[in-house]
Formats: sequence, structure tokens, C-alpha cells
Amino acid sequence: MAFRLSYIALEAYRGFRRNLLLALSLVIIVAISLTLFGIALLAGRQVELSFGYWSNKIEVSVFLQNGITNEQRENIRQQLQSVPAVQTVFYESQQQAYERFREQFKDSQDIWRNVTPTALPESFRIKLKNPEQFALVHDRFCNGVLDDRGKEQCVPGIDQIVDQKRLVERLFAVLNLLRNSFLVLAGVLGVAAVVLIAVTVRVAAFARRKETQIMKLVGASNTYIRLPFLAEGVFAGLLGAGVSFVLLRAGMYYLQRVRDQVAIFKVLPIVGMGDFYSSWLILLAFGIVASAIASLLALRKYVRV
Amino acid sequence: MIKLEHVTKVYGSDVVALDDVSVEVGKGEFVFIVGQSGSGKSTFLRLLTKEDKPSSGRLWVAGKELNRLSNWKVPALRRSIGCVFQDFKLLSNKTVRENVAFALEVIGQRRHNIERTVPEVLKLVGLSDKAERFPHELSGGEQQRVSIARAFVNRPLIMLCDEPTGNLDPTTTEDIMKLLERINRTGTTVVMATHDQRIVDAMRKRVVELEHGKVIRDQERGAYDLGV
Repeated sequence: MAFRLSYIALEAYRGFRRNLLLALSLVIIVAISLTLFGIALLAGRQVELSFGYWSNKIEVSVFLQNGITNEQRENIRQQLQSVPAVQTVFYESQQQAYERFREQFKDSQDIWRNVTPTALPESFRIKLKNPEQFALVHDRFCNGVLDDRGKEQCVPGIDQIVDQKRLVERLFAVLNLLRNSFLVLAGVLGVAAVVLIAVTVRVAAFARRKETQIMKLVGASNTYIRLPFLAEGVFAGLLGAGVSFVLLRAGMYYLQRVRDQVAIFKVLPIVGMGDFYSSWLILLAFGIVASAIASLLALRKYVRV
Repeated sequence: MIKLEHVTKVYGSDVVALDDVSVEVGKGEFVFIVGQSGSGKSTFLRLLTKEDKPSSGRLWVAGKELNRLSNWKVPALRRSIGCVFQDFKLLSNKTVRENVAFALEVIGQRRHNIERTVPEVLKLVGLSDKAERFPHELSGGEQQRVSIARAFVNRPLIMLCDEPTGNLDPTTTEDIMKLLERINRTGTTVVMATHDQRIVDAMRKRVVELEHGKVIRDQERGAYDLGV
């Protein structure tokens, strides 16, 4: 049986015009729901990217006190190397720290103009065999008891030991929380969208009840009768996905602008256009499939054949 | 063409619309189903198009046993049946021609086929000159002829008419009956539910009378009030 695509498209368009307000609210809610879902997807991707970036670089920094003697420094190096959990030990002098700092903030002269090499501490940067073993290293040199200035007592020559991993984990926790909240919100709005699709189909079924009745009587197939209603629901899903594309694209634009303007983000890898397009394709497929399923469920109830 | 065997239809738990009805209608017959409102006439017709299922009993229409007919084959059944109603059921936003063509479009007929068939059937019902009019521009009798044209355009084996003259004056009624008789003469089986005594008396066709869902009379060449 030959379905005329133009017939289905025309009927769906007519149905849309007939219930313009309902159709608009449906498109808006689908768009918002998909946009939130998209943000969640991109946030998840960002976590993956950042993790990939840092997993190679996660280190323990052993900052040394100012005025440390060569003997103390050598002594600490040997002690560090003797800890079984430590893989490599790399020494960074004040001058090297300064150069790394300058490199990181090379576009923001006002940050490093007043910084001199002596303002930055020299340090040992340690790579652990297993990043979880920070405590093994830390407890060997520092006692974990904080004094009134919020600093703990360490062996002579060591100012403090910092687990960079913990800082990164805090950032990941924030990103994950963000992603999960957006997923929950998207889910709630998705339920609202499904309800609205059911209402839309019901209204459309009522508006076309006479046509439907005649079609049934003259023996039109079930598919033929139902397809325009289905098309109407899917059309809303498509338009919603289209709107979410615009919203997310705008979001990406601002994200990139912020990244370019704020120096500290420059070192971070950030979700790119490839991630954006692949996320949006997921949204598009999801929007179409979900609205089609919702329409079909509503059709079973409201357009009996 | 149509056969009912001990068909009973109960709505809900206690409303008996048809009670052990057995009727057989042969190919090319013209049958009146008569009886008061609520006697089961409409239920009888609804069972034939499988809009309703019988509570018990078996029925055959156009060579198909409806109890065994799967749902996806119902459209094919309905393509062999034309339906006419008291309230015409025309689409007010379509012209006469479009209303008739609609019946063919929605079953996927090709355009050139539709363009050839629709004028033929409009000529048969005598509305060739009103093809581009809208239903509200026509009289009741003309609207009913459009609805008959729509039911007949696909050359069905059976025409089911539910009170087709219920809204029409006597002269118009006569025209409609002549039209149905012509359609019957082409070999189409016609089943017509009515409570219009004069039509039944004038036509001298087979009469099946229902009362409280039971067949109380089945008479060749009957009249409305005989045997009551």
C-alpha cells in the first residue's frame, strides 16, 4: 500500500496549526528537556576528557621550605625514593616553577608580571605507582596534626605535601553532581512531555474524529489512519530537537568564549564541536523515538481502530 | 453473503441487544431490518462490520467468518461493505467530489483510478453537476446521495444502510429508495434498517423484524405491519 508522504505531512501540519498553543508548549517542553539532557551528556564528556588529561599528570607535590640546605634536600630526595609506593621523583627548582607558571599564564601578563622566581617554592613532584597510596607517602613525612595556622608538622625542610588528585576529585564531584541534576530534571520534564504528547494526540483525535470514523468504515488500514497522529507527535519531537540544537550551540559558543578569556581554563581540555554534534545526534534520535513511542501509546487509547 | 448463527450480543452485564439471532442473506438480496428503536437493528449492522463482537454465536460476511478474522484483516472486510447513515457523515470542508474521492484515497487507490471512478459514481447518483459544491450547499436528499456514492464508489459486495431516509421528506425518500434499488440490481446485497412503514410496504422486499433483540418475523416480500 502506497502511503502518500505529502498527505501525512499535510495532515500533521494541519493538526499542528489547529492546536497551535498546545503544539507550541509541547515543542518548548521537549526542547528544554532535550537541552538539559544534552548538557548532562556534555558534562559527562567533559568529566571523561578532564580525567584523561589529569590521569597522566596527577602527582603529589612535596613543597620545600625556603632556605633549605642542599644536604636536607638530598636527604629528602633519598627518603622519597626509598618509599616503595613512589615511582619517580622529579625535582623542580624555583626557576623551573617560575617558567612553568609563566607558560601556563602566558596570555595573562598581569598575573605573572609581579611574580618573581623567589615567590614560588621549590618542590619534589612525585608520581606514585598507585595514585591511591598518597597516605603512605604523606604519613612518612608529616604528622597530620594542624597547628593554629592550619599547617601540619613535617620533617625539617618540607613545607607541605599536597595530593593534587584530591583537588581534581573535588572538581569531578562538582561536574558529576551537575550532570546528575540535569539528568533528573531532564527526566522529570521528559515525563511532562510524554503527558503533553498524549493530550495533543487526544485533542487531535477529537478534532479528526469524523474523518477517522469514515476512514474506518471505508476500510482504511490502521496504519494509514494512525500515521498522521504519529507524524504530529514526531514532528513536535523533531522541532524540539531543533530548538535544543540552537540552545546548546549558543551554550557552546559562550563556553568557548569564557574559556578563551579566562586564563586558568586555557590549560583544560574542553568539549569540542565533535562532542557537541555527536551529543546532539543522540538527542535527535532520543527525541524522535521517545515522541513516537509516546504517540503510539496515546493512539492505542484514543484512536481505536 | 451474510449469515448469523445463534448470535447474541449483551452490552455490559444485562443489556441484551440481540438474543439468539439466526439470519441468512443471499447474494444480491434486498432485506429490510425493521423494529422499534432499541430493538437491536443498529447492533445487527455494527456486528456485520466488526465494529462490535458478538457475545456468542458465529457470523459470516462476504465469505469470511468474523469470529476468526484477525484485526488487521478488518479493513479488507470493510472494503467489501458500503455504509450509509441517517446523518450522512459527510466532511463539511470537502466538496462532493472530494468526499467521494476520500473513500478511495484513504485505501490507497491510485490517482488516475480515482479520477476515472468518481465521476462515474456521481453520474449514477445524479450529482454530476454538483461535484464542486460543498455539503452545506446541498439539500438533505442530495447529501444522502453523496453519502451513497461514497459507500458505493469502491463497488462493495454489500451495502449497509442505517435509517438512510430518517431525515428526509417522502418525495426525497422515494428517490433514495429508487437509487438503492438500482444499486441492488447491479448485484449488490442491500441490508437496510428502517422504521419507516411506508417504504417497507411500497417496496415489497424481504423483511426481518426484531423485537427486544429477537427475530419475530422473517418474511419474503413482506410489509411492515403484517404478522405483528
